[in-house]
Amino acid sequence: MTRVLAVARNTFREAVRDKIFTLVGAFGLVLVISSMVLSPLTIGAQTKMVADVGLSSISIFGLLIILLLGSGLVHKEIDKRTIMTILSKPLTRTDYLLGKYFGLLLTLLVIMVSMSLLFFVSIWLTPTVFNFALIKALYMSLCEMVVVTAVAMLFSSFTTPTLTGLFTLGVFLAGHTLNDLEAFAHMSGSHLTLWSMQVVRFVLPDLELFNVRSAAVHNLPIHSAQLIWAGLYALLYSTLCLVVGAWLFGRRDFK
Amino acid sequence: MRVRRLSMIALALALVALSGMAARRADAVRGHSVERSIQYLPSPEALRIGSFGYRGLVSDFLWLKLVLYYGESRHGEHGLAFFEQLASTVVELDPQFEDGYRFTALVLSQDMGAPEAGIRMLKKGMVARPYDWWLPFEAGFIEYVTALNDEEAFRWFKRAAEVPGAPEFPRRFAAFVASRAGELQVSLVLYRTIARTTTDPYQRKAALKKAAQLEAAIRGEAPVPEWARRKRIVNGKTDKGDDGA
Repeated sequence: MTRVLAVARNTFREAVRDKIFTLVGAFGLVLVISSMVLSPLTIGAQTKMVADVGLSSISIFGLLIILLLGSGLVHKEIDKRTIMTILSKPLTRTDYLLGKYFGLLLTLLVIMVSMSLLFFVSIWLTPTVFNFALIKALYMSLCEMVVVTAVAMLFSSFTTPTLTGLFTLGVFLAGHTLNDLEAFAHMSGSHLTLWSMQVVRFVLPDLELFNVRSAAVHNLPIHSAQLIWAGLYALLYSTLCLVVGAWLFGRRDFK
Repeated sequence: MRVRRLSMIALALALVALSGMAARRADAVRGHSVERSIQYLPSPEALRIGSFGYRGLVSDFLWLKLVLYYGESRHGEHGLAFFEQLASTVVELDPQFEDGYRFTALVLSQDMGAPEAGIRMLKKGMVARPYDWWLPFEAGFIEYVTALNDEEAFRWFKRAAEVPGAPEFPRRFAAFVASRAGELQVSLVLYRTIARTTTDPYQRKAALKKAAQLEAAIRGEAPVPEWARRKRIVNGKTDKGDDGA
């Protein structure tokens, strides 16, 4: 565990050195300027718009960080050959991959918390009403990012940064359309398509489970059971990705 | 070195200015209008799937387009031919968007003279938000002041009053309409109530304007406005209102 934490700390420091936190500044600016510029145009929808823009931006910026940082995390060290030095120390490949994962998660957590604070400031600056459901939506966004980060780590364990980015983005987009794909499969009437869809549903993460943004914006009830099950799902799915990723990474030849 | 840096900055600024001018000229040739941009709007279903979980954000973006489209029409740049389509897309992407139903229903019924389209919009809202008394109340308002259909107005006011948590005034309006009280007075109270209770500045402004016109007519300082003169529908038949005709 200490070895995993050491890699995680190092990954976080690297992210800080990469000036990734300028993204947070950009986020704050986008949020405050958009709230101020769009307010006169919203005709009664200011509350909804500030909350929608804030929650969606936090999620989109989180995804961007995973795509920008996560996809090159492992490959960079393979490319520079520093991975040989790291793995010559008493550290298994699984420890290394887990360390990278937790380091990226820590970076994401710090950035998402900072963005959430800026979001609450923008709520405070406008006549938007704060409700507790917004916190629940932010928690669900974080759960979603836990899964997407694990997916990025899985791909980065065996492929190039470009492909990791593309595959992760593909899984993210597909993960938000599983219900529609299933509806199309039902409409097709083909048993094979339906069966394939069932398999796809189990293999790909159902990211719509974490999407409670609309409910939060309109202050509709979000049940605790939903939060607990979604959290458990995020934990289990990311464990699955990391187990498969560690297995593939263990078989990888760095020569 | 310094001269080189300054000349690079000057070159960059000149290129920014020139490309900006070229873009403006291209935009002027193309003709810029919100109407043009919404003519080829994909179906709500396609937008829902294509928004990949960011439906609220897409709905907000289209809402801003709708507001701009309405604003342009108020300046006489075009009509409102695509308004209902755009409004439906906005609320289909975010079915809980209360102001989306209320504002668009008012525009459809009052600006476009299509109360049935306004009621249609509110009915969609009532399916998504059955606990919201404002939507049937506004339907009653539209039936009473725009469609001039007392029976339907009574039905909607009554329905609004029956929604748990509804205030007292929908019941009061249901009683007014049922007893066929002085129509201009009822309309005046309705508009004042809307102006007092709404959070929408557009709706408040419009309601205050209509209330002022009605007050002037009741005091005899101005003729009864055209929109309050038409024959009302009572017991399924058109009927001359007591003070509105």
